[in-house]
Amino acid sequence: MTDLLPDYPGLIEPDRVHGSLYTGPGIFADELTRIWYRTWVYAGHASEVREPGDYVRKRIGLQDVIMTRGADGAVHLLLNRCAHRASLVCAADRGNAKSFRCPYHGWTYRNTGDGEVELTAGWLKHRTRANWKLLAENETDGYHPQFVHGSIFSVTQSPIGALYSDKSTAVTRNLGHGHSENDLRPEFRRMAEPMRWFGTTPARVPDYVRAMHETHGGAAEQILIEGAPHVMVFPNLFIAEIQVFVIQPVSAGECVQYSTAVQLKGAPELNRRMVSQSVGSVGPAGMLLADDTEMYERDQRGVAMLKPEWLDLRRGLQRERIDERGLKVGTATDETGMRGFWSHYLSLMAAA
Amino acid sequence: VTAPAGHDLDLREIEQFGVPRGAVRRRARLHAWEALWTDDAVYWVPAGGDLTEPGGQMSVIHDNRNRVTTRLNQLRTGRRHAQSPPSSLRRVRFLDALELETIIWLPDGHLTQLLDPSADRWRDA
Repeated sequence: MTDLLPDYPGLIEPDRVHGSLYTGPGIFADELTRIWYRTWVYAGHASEVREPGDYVRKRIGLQDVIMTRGADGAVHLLLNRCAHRASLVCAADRGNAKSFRCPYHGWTYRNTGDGEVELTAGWLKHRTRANWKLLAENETDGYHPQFVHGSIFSVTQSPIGALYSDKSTAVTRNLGHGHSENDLRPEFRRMAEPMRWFGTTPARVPDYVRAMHETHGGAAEQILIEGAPHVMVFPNLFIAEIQVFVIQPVSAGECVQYSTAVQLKGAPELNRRMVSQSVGSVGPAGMLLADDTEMYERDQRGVAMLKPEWLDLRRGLQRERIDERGLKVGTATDETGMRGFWSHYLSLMAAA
Repeated sequence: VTAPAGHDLDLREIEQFGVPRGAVRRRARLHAWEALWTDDAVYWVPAGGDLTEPGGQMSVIHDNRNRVTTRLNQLRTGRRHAQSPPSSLRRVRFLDALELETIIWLPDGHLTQLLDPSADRWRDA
C-alpha cells in the first residue's frame, strides 16, 4: 500500500469535516504519529503514585506505559516493554515496586525510568466503539444535552438542562490549541447561589464552605458561586466540574473512556458526594454518559456508511464573537469548541 | 432483601431474588422489580478495587433506594437512549450486567459477594 498522506486541508473545512477522518486506519496511524506520540497528552495525575515505588499502568496512544514515583520522589514514565524481546514487563494495573522484572527472561528494570486536586477514587473503563474524535468533539458540545440527557434532567428536575438551552447566557469558548470550554459562570453568577453548580447548598457541606472561606477570604463567595470548569484539553483530557475523563484511542473505530471523580485534599465531606454523583453519571451504567456513548457509537456506524461524505460543523459560525481575551466565543449551544478542535487538528496533521 | 442484624445474608435468599428479577425484566415489569427493593438495600456493582467499602471509590453502579427509582424512572421516560429503544449495539445493558456480578451491601456492615467482580468484564462485554 502506498503511503500517500491524505489531503487534510481538503478534508477539514471551517464548517464541515469529512467522514473518512473517523474511519480510515491510515488516518488513525497518522494521528498516532502526529498527535499521540508527538504533542502533549494527558497520561496520569501525580496523586495516583503517592509513595516512592508506587506505580500505575497507563496508555499513551497504543503504547503501554508505567507511571512510577521513584525513590527520588520524581514521577517517571516508562515504556512497558522489555528491551530484549518486547514482552510486557508489568502485568499488574497498579502496585508498589522498586523494579520491574520481565517474566520471559528475567530482564529487570529500575522504576525511575499540587494543587489540591487528587485522583485517588479509581477509574472506570468504558469501551466505546467509536473514533476518539467523536468524544473529544462532544465534550464541550452544549447542543446535545437537552436531547441526549433530557430523560435524566426531567426525572431529577435538574437545572443543568437550562444551562445548555438557547436561553442560556453561558458561552462556548475556543481556548486555542484545540482546547475548549463551556463557560457556565454567567448563569451561575446570575443565580448567585453558592454551591448551586454542585446541586447543593452551603448548609449541606459546611466544612468545605468554611475551609474555602478560611483559604480564600473575600473571594470565597464568588468561587463557590461560579463553580468548577467544564473544559476539554486537547487531545484526551476532559474535566467536567467534578469528573475527569481520559480518552484512549484503540483504533479508528474504537476507544476507551476512563472516568473518575475529582477529589480534593482534606475535603472528605465533598469527596464522598463527588464520588457518589460521578458514579451515578459516568461509565457504562451511568445515567448521563451511557447515553453519550450510545450517540458516539451511532455516529460511528453512520460515518462508516461513507455517504454522504461530510459532517456538519456550522452551528453558530455566523454569530461568533471575540471576547476580551481575544478568544472566539459562541452561545451555549454553538459548535465553537468543535471548530477549535478541528482547526488545531489540521495544523498538526498538515504540518510538514 | 434484608438480613437479620448480625447474620450474613442467606445465599439461597439471594438466588430467589435473582431469579424473579430476570423474569420480570424480560416482561419489562419494572414496577414489580422495583418492589423487590427494601428501603435500606444498596445496589452495588464494583469496578474492582476495594471490596469492603463502596462509598469512597468509583463503582459501575452504587445506588441507594432513591437512585434505583431514579434509574427506573429514567428508563420509563422512553428517552434513555442507551436502553430505549433497545440498542442493537452490543453494549451490556445494566440490568443484564447486574446479574453478572452483584454485591449487596447491608447497613450492618455485612457484605455478600455473589461473583468475583472484574473490571475487565466490562471492557470485553
